[in-house]
Amino acid sequence: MGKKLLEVRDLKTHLFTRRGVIKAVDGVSFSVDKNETLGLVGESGCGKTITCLSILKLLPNPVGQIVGGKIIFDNVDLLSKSEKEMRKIRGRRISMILQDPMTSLDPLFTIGEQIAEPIRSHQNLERTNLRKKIIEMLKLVKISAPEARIKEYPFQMSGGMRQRIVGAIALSCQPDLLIADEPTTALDVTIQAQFMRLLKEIQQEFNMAMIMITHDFGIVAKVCDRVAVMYSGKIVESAGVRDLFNHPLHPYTKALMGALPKMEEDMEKLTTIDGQPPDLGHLPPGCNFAARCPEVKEICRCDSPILSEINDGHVVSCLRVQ
Amino acid sequence: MIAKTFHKNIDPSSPLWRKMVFNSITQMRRMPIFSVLFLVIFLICGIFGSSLAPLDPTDGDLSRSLIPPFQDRNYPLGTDHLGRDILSRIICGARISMIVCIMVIFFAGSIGTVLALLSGYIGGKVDIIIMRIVDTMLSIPYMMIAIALAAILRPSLFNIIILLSILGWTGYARVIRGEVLRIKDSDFVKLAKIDGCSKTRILIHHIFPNIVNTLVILATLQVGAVIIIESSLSFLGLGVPPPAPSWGGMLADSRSYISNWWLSTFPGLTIMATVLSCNLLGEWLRLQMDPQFRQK
Repeated sequence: MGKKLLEVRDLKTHLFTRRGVIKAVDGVSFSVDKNETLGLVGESGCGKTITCLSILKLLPNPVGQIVGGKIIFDNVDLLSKSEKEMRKIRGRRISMILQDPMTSLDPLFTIGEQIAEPIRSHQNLERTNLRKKIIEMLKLVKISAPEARIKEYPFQMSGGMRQRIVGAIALSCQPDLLIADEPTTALDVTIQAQFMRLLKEIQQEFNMAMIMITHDFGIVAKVCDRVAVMYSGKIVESAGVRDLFNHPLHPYTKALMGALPKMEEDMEKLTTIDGQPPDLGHLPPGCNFAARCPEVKEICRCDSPILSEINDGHVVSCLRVQ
Repeated sequence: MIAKTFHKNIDPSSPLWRKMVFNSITQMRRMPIFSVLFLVIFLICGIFGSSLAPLDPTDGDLSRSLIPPFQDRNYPLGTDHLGRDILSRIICGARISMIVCIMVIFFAGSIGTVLALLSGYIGGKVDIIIMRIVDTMLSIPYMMIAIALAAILRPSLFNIIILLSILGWTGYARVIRGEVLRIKDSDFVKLAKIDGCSKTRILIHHIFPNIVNTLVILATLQVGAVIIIESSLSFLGLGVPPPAPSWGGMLADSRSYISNWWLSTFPGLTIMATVLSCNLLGEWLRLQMDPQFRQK
């Protein structure tokens, strides 16, 4: 394995709302190596996005607060950085793609101006070089006729093109780490595959690490090297992608995979996981998944499991497996 | 058919100056010509009023009072109860309306926008304090406080401008704050933060351009409101003191001569036309500034 680029240790991010404290991220640890893609999988509201916003320190203020843990990026703890220092890291070293391409572009500016934005804040380029750079970025994300497109407005583009523009903005300073927050959820299936292939190509070209937030196991299988499965603010299982698909250990992971539609079997109904995820404001004692777990035992309802390594690089937090 | 001829495209190989002319013509396509013409006349009258007027607006000739319009060649719109030429008074009265409008919109708009941006973007206590001030100001009847203050401050052009600016910024603050809150939470602002933009840059570069649209509408709507309030104050004798001509003052003077219809009709029509022109022009400007409409 390569050198560690990002290491998140026991990160705790809580949301202080009027209804009480919500433990959105509760002791999450993972690491991303250089040139590696980590998939972060889990259902809605399990803390995937909050984890990534914590890395960039862009939590909704003053509701979201990082209350514990360490985020070490390139041997420096990001939590000790000031806002000004963080601004130099955002966009240049760590970048992010948001979920919805329809709203992530400013409707009043041409796409050229928007791609120029991070370049302007981080590098000094004169006009002609800036233009060249923008066109280069557009070519990189495979926008045809970049010289003409540079003057167009976001509303003139399709969803897939906009998402590629968002990608171009995120990549314009050649970041070391790209966080993609469900980049393909808003796109249709053919465009999804195209966009993922493009990201993968660019990753290899730039030697970039990626965190891919998704709930689509198809994407995980295609793009990711390692996967972390999150459930109610905790990582419940983490392993190499092959390992996880061949030997899922945590009941939640198994249930998620069971819920995938399979082409070869004739199924009347899709398998689902019964019940709802627990309210993060009032967690019951014991394992968070106990209430929905098909393999639940008595001990699961009182004791909390801890993450432990089962075999090389495969960690699980489940009392039954340990 | 007409739509088709309008959408004719220019040959891409034609020289740059022709393209530019073509573009500017197509952009001007739906400009409300009458509004613009009227406002241009209004501005010219406002700037050069006293030298354009055929007669002295303050010099009356009592032997020639209350001449109906279209009868005497020298007084095309007739004369008022003091024998002053109505046309000249309308032309010269444009100056006061123009000055009050421009100044009030500038001051009220600036105060309102800046406070709304701060209120919406910073939030928290700043937001609460500013918005409670706005609430308080809005709860006081506009006209009543204007009358009270105008009575205390002595009527003068300067005082009217100050007064209307202090009262007028709240509308901007309330509406624009709402817009700022909406834009602040949008994904493109989030993305700008991710790209490493500073807060000031986001405020000036992303949030402000997105509220200009609303600002223009509010400003053009306020033109009407300001002219009407200025006229109302003058009507109540609290505006610009006589004998200086102002549209509201002319209306006020005419109220005891209601059977001589031309005294009130012409200044009234002028006020109406000005307000209507401003609103139509504002509507057009709003569409022009939206890239989505501009290119259709």
